[in-house]
Formats: sequence, structure tokens, C-alpha cells
Amino acid sequence: MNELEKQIQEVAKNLQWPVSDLESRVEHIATDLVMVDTDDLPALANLHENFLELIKSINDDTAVTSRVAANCADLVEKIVLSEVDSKAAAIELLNSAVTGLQAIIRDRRQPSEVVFPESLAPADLEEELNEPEVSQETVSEPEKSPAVILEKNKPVSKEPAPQTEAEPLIINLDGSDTSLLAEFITEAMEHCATAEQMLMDMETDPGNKSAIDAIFRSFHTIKGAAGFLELKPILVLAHESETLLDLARKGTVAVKGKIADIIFDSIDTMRTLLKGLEELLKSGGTYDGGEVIGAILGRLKDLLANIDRIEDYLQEEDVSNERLGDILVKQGTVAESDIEEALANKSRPEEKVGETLVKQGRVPAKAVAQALREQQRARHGNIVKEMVKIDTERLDRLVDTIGELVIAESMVGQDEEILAKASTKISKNISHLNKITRELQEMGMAMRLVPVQSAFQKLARAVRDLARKSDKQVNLILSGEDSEVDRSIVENIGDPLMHMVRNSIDHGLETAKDRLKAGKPEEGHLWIRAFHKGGNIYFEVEDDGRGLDTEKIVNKARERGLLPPNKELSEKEIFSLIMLPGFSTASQITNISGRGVGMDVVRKNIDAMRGHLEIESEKGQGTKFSMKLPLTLAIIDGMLVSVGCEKFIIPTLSVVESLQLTPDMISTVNSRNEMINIRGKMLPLNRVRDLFDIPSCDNENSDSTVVIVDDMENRIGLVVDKLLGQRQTVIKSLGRMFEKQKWISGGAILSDGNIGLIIDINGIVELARTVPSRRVSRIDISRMDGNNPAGNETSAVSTAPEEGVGTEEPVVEVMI
Amino acid sequence: METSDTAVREGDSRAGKYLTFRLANEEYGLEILKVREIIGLMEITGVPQTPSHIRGVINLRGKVIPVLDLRLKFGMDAAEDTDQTCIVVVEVTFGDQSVMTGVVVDAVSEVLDIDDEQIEDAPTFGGGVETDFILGIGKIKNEVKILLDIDKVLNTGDMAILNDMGESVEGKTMNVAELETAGV
Repeated sequence: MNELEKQIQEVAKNLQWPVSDLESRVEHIATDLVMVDTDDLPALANLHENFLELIKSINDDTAVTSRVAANCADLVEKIVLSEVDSKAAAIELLNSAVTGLQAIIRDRRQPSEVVFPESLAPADLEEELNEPEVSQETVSEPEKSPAVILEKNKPVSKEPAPQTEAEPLIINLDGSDTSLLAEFITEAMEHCATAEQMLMDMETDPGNKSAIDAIFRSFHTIKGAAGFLELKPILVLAHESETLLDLARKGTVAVKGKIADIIFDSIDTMRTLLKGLEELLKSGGTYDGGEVIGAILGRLKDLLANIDRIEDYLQEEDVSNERLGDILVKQGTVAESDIEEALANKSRPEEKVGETLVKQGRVPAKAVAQALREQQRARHGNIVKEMVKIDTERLDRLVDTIGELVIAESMVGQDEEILAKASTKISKNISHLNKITRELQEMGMAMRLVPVQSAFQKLARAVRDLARKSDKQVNLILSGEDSEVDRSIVENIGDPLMHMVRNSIDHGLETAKDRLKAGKPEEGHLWIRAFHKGGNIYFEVEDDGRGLDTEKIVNKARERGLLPPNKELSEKEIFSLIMLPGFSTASQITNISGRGVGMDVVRKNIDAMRGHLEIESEKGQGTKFSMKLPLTLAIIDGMLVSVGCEKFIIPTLSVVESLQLTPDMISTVNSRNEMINIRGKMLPLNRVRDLFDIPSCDNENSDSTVVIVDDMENRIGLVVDKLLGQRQTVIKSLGRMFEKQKWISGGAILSDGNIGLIIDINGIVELARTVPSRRVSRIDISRMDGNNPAGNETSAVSTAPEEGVGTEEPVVEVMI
Repeated sequence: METSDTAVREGDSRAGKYLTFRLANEEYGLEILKVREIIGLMEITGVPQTPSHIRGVINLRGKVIPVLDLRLKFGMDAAEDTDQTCIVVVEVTFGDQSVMTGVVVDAVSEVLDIDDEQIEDAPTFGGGVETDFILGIGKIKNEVKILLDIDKVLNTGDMAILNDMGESVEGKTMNVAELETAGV
């Protein structure tokens, strides 16, 4: 037996993990404890975190070490919350407890040999399970009072609420460090988001231990900070939720159904409180936290009181862990047969497979250690990359400056004087500079990119709530959460996506009964996807519901006077009708959607992001909204074109193709309005020179190129002088003075330091509709009609020229 | 707008340093605190379909800022640019935002310290000419400097003109009176 133990220790030493990890954690705690100052809150918080980490590393809630560490963590928390009589004495207690832990973990003493201070000694296990968190009961006492008031100015000495002898419930923001508070709010908001996301994960995987830990930690951190900042309502709410979460963490209850609901509600309430606090910071006055948390507190307490009677919530066994052997096989370190053999030849029944393998020399100890680490990682969620928080303004400035550097670089690199004199050495240096600048630019751009996850997370939440509200079964399938996109896009995409999701659930997906009748599975599907394609990001919201009813849409549009009678529309045009302001097909206005605002807002938002929305739908089969957006709002991919002496940039996103313009390609209507035949389709032709009143410049190539652009509804040809090539440029706003200037969306600084104006496609299409009408009296064209102004007239006028054009295939340079 | 108005009209705060410049044969003054820099005339990119007094935009070390022609803004005749013509970059407030804007002037003269006693309120002109955008009239040694409330100058007319640009101005200049009434 002794022999065996030695061997085990030998193996354990080789394994390095988790034994040495425990050791290093305990050592850490010991050093921290020596250094800690009773008033140094960050250090205490860190210490607390370390105890929790230790418990996690021990990975056995019943172990003595784990229980002592838990008690220590609680004590640290009390120190933070000033709930101990003497902080110094408490630290002393911690010190001796940690010495005990060191003895067990580092010196491998038996737990029975070690004496812990009485208050921190492991409680009897059964007792602990029966009465969870006895020690914290004292904290929760004061919370029973309904009136918890946050107050900005002097604390009004109100009647102390019942059971609150110890501390008044009134918060005094006076004299508090406002920057600290602001930081707390941001941080707590982030914690709420994390908790929410984890909770969402748990919906699909109730046994996810790392998720429940993360949720617990979030609440715990909020609680700690709120205690420090004396934000009683937040503290109370966090504490109460934490108690419930703790039960979940211990496996007493499973996080699903009603319990998940209540935690979701806690998170929401927490957000409300935080927002209230934010208001308070700005405007002062009082904020009745008690009113906000009253309801949820009641529910939480109710639930906690009856928890043992709710059998549904009992947690199922967690079977999701991957076994070590499987990991090793997957890694290819060892064959499956080896493991089976090893298992068969175990020297003792409780021996772990890793030990056996190492002992039998089948696998190097290092490989086992690696596999163990991987297993650990799988259990505790992904390893989080280290992050630094940066003020977005600084980041923007950095990106701006890099943009300028790029321009300055190209000004130098393309300077004719330099190029003329350049020796090989100079050109080499210049190209080196160029390379570095490009790299820097790419890095700068990448820094602004964030995963779309946060936007998706909100959607998942909304889908859950909406599905419940409308009593429909919805299976949400998310994909591409990791796709990265500019921060500003993630911020702006939320609303449009939300509208579409609402639309899908409310109008698209049918109830279970209707679905069965239609021969579809009971459960409706909703796909939300994000993916990159061709330098753009796409968002798709697709459902397998009833699809858009074209007939109904057309009727509705006629009813609303949005469409002249007897006008035939293509399917695409019909779908775009739903994006008109004041259009809604829902025959009943529900509280979810159907107020006729929605799709037009979506449209506007997408336009603002220079995006593109497409709708596909088949009756009875489902609807798909797909949005195409640039990766970033700060940079634009554009085609630089010249008109007269001016240069303009046309966003590549809207360019369909461009081609050389020859006079015989042009047909006219009323001998004024020009059209061009693009593969059998007549498109209106507009000369940018005329639209913008640009004086001509000595240029032999005037009006020689046509760029076909598409603003989603309309396709028109823009006539310019010359294509100067593709450019990626930083967009600069022209400022408030030009905000009514709809046909220019911004300026870009060109490589010569001059400014090229960026043409707004929606704006110029609009302008194209109005400008010619000033020149020639034109048939009255309503908004919808304008889609295809040539459409009605082509048949009458342009038969002959059209054929002429058709026979002669123009040179087409397809750009996309 | 109101804030600068009350601050200037009521206190003694009209005294201070002014940057004076010339437009045609009139001398104007700008509070020096509003001036960010003075730059020589550079290439200005015209923005299509804007009133003629908006010359366009320039690249000021990576920032795109609008440039106005003060002559045209005040309804004076346009003048050929000379080597004295320059752009005064001022920081003005549009609503709650502070924006850099360039104004083209014929020539910059000097920076003057003007005392309160040297400043008079603008006289009331006949014909409904608004003088709101004038802080006061400075009289320095027989010379008259028209001290401008540049916030007001840039705010009043422009926004209104851009608002209903569809039917207004194209190559047509407005006189001060028209400008001001358009703003009110």
C-alpha cells in the first residue's frame, strides 16, 4: 500500500496538473494575504476570486479544503461588506486557515491532522446542504423592507424600515466617487450581458457547469461592488439571486423553466436599477429601488422558501463531460485498444485512466497533462483571451490617424519628384514603408471589429420571450456569431434585426396547430445567420412560416393609396412595398408588431449603414430577409470616378457593373430622357455632370463611362467621365452644415490630399428623379412608378434603337 | 445662440481680443477665442447643389471641414482670390455640437485689444435689416470694425437655406436682410 502511494505521488508529480496548480494557487493566496490591506478593496476582491478559483481547481465540493476555502471566501466577502467586527482579526483568521490549506495541499498532510480556526472549519456537510448559506441570512434581513430608496443628496433620516437595525437603507450618493459609480454601472451592465448569455446557453444545456459558475460570478461581483458602493437595492437583488444561483451551482436545482425565467427577470431588473442609477448620477433626485425590485424579490423569496418542494427543478446528472481517454484518442496519442487494455490492467479499481496509462508507459506523462488541461478547459468553458478596454474615442482617433498616415504615405510614395530621382535604395525604403503602413492600416481596422455575438444574444433573448408571449414553438438556429464586424455596425444592426425577428415570429411563423394543418412540423424554425462574403457582411433572418402574401400586400398598398390601381408589379417590387412607411399587413395590431412602423425603419437603418436589403419569400414556405452590409462604417470600398475636374467615389456595394459608353447604346424618350439597354433591360441614364451642375474641364474622355448602380429598388446608369480605379478610403463626415445634402454621404481624402466626395446612391437616385423633371416636363411619376420610369414608355418609343443596341454587344467590364 | 447673446450683451464681456479682417472695404472683427487657425487659400472641393456662399470642403490635416465665403454670405459681390485671401478656421456651435468651419475672407489684418468703451451696439437700420449677428461696432481711432457673432452668422442663414434647398438659391446670392429673415 505504501509502495502504491509512493507511485501515485510519483505520477502525480509528473502530471503537474492539477496538483501543482492547487499548490500555486494556495501559495498565491498566502502571499496575497500577507500583503493585503483591510481597506484595499481590489486586493480583497482578488483574494476572493482566488479562493473561488481554488475551489474550482479542487473540483470536489465535499473535500475539506474546498469547504474551508468556501468559508474563507465568505469571510473575505464579509470583510468587503464591512460585516465583521474587526477586519484585522478576520484577516488573522484567514491567515491561519490558509496555513492549514497549505499544510494539506502543499505538504500533503491528512486533513484530520490540520486544525482550522473554528469559524472557518468545514461545517458538517449535511447541515450545509440543508441550510444553504446560513451565514448570509443576516445580510438578507434588511431587504424585506419594501421601500429601498436611492437618494442623491443628504440622506433623509426616514423611519428605519422594520428589521433594519444595523444599517439604514438609504443610499447617499453625496460624496461618492461618481467616476467610480459610472465605472460600476458599465461593468455591472457587462456582467448582466454575460450572465444573460450564459443563461441562454443553459437553456439548451442545463448541465453546463461553467455557465452557471459564470452567472454566479457575475452576480457575485456585482454584489461585492454594490456593497462597497453602498447601493443597497442592487446589493439586495444580487444577493437574493445569488442565493438561488448558489443552489443551482450546488446541483440542488436545475436552471430551466421557471427558474431560468426568474433569473432572466433578475437580470432585467438589475438593468433597470443600473439605468436608474445612471439617471441619478446625471440628474440627481431620488430613485425608488424598492419599487423596482419589490416584485422580483418577492418571487425569489417565494421560490427559495419552497425550493425543496419543487421536484421538477432537481438537477439531472451531468453527463456532458468528455472522458480523458477519449481526448487522448482524439489527439492520436494513443489507440483506443491501448486504453481498453490499460483499463483492463488497472492496478487498482479507482485508479484514473491517465495514471494507468502513464504507469504502463503507454503515453508520456506530458501528453496526459495536456489532455487533462483540455478536459479542464472543456469543463470550465473557453479560455478567455486577455483584453484591454480602450476608450472608443481614442480608438477612433487612432484609426483616423492611421488613415492619415496611409494618405501621407501614398503622397510621398507617389510623388513624381521623388519617383524621378529615386535610387533603388529609396524605392526599396518606400516600398518597405508602404508595407508597414498597409499592415498598420489592417490592424487598425481589425481593432474596431467585434464579433456580432452581442447583437445575436439580444435576439436570442427576444425570440425566447416573443415565442412564449405568442405561444408559438420556435427553434432558433443561430450561426456565425463569431463573424467580426465593425463595432458601430454591431450597435446599429440590433434594431433592424430585432424588427425582422419580430416580424418572423409574429407574422411569419404559424401556431403549432396551423403548422400541423399545413403539414409542417409543429416547431417553427428561425434561422439567424451572419457571414462574410466578398468583403461584406451578410445578416439573414429566415423562417419557415407562411411566407409573404403578395396578393394581400398589393391590396393593402392600394387601400392605403401607396400604389396606383392597375399597376403590375414584379415580386421584388411587391416585397419592397412592405418597406414603405405606414405599411403593415397584420390585420390585427398585436403588442409585438404590426403598428405599421417597422420595415420602413429597418430600411432606413440599413440605408444609413450603406447596406442593402433583399427579401425572398415563398407562400407557405417561409421568408428570408437578407442584409448585405459593409464591414465597417469608417471605411468605404469605392470606385473613384472623375467628372469634369471633380472626383467622386461611388460605393462599390451599390455598383452592379460599369461599361464603356458609346452613343449608339443610348436611346431617348421625348428626345430628352436617356436610357440604356443592359442585356435587354432598359435603364434610365443620368449624367452626373448634369445632376451636379459640374462645369466641363479639358477632358477628352467626357461622359465616356457608365456605372450601373442599384439602390435596391431602382437600377440606374450614372454617366461619368472616367474610372480611376478602386479605392478603400476612410469616410469623413461633411458635418452638420451638409446634413441635408442627401446625395453626398461624406468625403474621402484622396492620395493627393484633396477630397473626393462620396456619392450616396439612394440620394442620387432620388435626385435623378427630380432633376430631369426640371428640364423636361415629364409624365407624372409617383414614388413607386419611379422604380422604372422607362418601363412604361419603352414599348412605345424605343423598339428600333433597342434592337440596334441589342445586336451589338457592348464591352462590359464587370466589377463585382 | 442665446447663451452667447446674453453673455455678450449684458456683461462687460464684449471687451477682449479680436481678430480683424477685411471684406471688400469693410473691416470686421471676430472674437479671437473662436479662431482656431488661419490658413492660406488651398484647394477647396465644391459640394454640388449647395448655395453659392458655401465654397465646399477642405482637408484640414485629415479632417474634412466646410468652408464658406463670407463675402457671398453677406451678399457682397464675389471677388477674385488674391494671395491675401485666406481661410479663417473658427470653431462654432451648431446646436449642441461644436464644429470647425472655415470662412474665406479677403485679408486678415491684425489682432486688436478692444475695450468696452470702444464698443457700441449696432445701430438699428431701416428696412428690417437684422443686426443680431453683430456683437457690436468697435471704433478704434476713427476706424470702424464690425464685430461679428460668428456663431450666429454661420448658424442663422445656412441651416435654413439648406433646409429648403430644393426651391431656393442656385447661383443666386441673398442679401443680409433676406438671410436673416430666412433664419428667423
